[in-house]
Amino acid sequence: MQHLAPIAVAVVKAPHRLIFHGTGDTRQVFDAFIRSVNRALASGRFVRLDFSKTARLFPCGLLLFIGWLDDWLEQYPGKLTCTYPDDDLVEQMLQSAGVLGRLGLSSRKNVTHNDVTRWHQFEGDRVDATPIEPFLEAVRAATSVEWQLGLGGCISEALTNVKKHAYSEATPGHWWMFATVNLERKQVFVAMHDHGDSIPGTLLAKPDLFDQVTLRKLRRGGDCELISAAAGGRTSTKLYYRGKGLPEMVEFTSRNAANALAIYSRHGYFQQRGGVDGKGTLVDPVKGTLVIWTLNFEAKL
Amino acid sequence: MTTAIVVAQQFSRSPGGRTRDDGPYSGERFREEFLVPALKGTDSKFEVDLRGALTLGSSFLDEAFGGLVRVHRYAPRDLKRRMDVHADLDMYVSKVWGYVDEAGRKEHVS
Repeated sequence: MQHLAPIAVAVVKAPHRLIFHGTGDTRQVFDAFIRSVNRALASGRFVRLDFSKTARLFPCGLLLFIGWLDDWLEQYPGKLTCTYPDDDLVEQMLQSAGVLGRLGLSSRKNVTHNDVTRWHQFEGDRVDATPIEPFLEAVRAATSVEWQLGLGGCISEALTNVKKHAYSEATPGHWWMFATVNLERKQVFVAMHDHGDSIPGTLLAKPDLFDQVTLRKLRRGGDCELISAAAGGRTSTKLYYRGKGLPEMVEFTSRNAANALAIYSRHGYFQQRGGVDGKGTLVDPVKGTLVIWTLNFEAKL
Repeated sequence: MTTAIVVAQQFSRSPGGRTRDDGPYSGERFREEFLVPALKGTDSKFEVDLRGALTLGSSFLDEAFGGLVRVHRYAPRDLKRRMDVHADLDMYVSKVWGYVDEAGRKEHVS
């Protein structure tokens, strides 16, 4: 009788807190998790994602993870499974976000927790904000027409950016989004992610956009300098090559010091918080682009 | 009676994108299927009502209205004579005419 070799299963523990946007240490934990899965899958092993000890999910971490998950499932079909989380809220969130379903686990929970139900989740391949209408209606009800139209216009432009600039013409411009209106904190939160060419990548692919001096300066500054330039950061060389989406987001954010915007792309990030611009370098690159946007609607526009 | 194009009812509450390959409710599609036929059908004035739309992104507005000058060679002054634009906020009406005027300057169509 022939003995079959045991199937090698790598159990990869998901972080206690699935978060990306924050300090370098925060990102290190997230990146280590993604690296472990990538390594195991690349070596031909089956992977079981262990969510049993995961206690908190943040939209930035969950969005990036879902992006990776969709890639893994396409590239390594049948190679990924997961365990149910011990935490009730985490399970509701993973179920609601479609993570458990993607990994072949059935839905066991009634999704009732406000920390789950208040989130709107969208994804798509085109510039079509129709699915986002319930969220935009909620924003209009909580704020004002002026506020809602400003936000809606920025989101529409951001989707146009993804379609026009992040992906090649032949590739569907897939994007993922989480959004919520927090009436208690008087905040709107939007997180958007795509797996297209990064902002620095698309910028450098069009060197005729700038003269040699500017190009040298941008290259020397690294990816964060390029993202800052595309976003129209106050201290940057202004380049509107990537459409109006990013500069409009920055302008909308800058109207109130309580607003915050962070744009992660490839090895760099640009952020604006409290009216101050910041930028920095990432150790592990972000695949595509991640935008994290927090807006305070208590303040007047 | 003045003809009215009510974007939120006849086209989409969430228009967006520039060209048809961007998505189903692009500026190009709105221009070709609503604005150009209205301009061609009669010489009388008509209304474009943007009220109730939830997304009025720059790309959509520029392609829809600025495109009338860039692509179809309508003169901005003729468009102002023919179209009445309404929106929930005046700034969006200003944006529409801003894109028309900008296209007129760039294309040397007055």
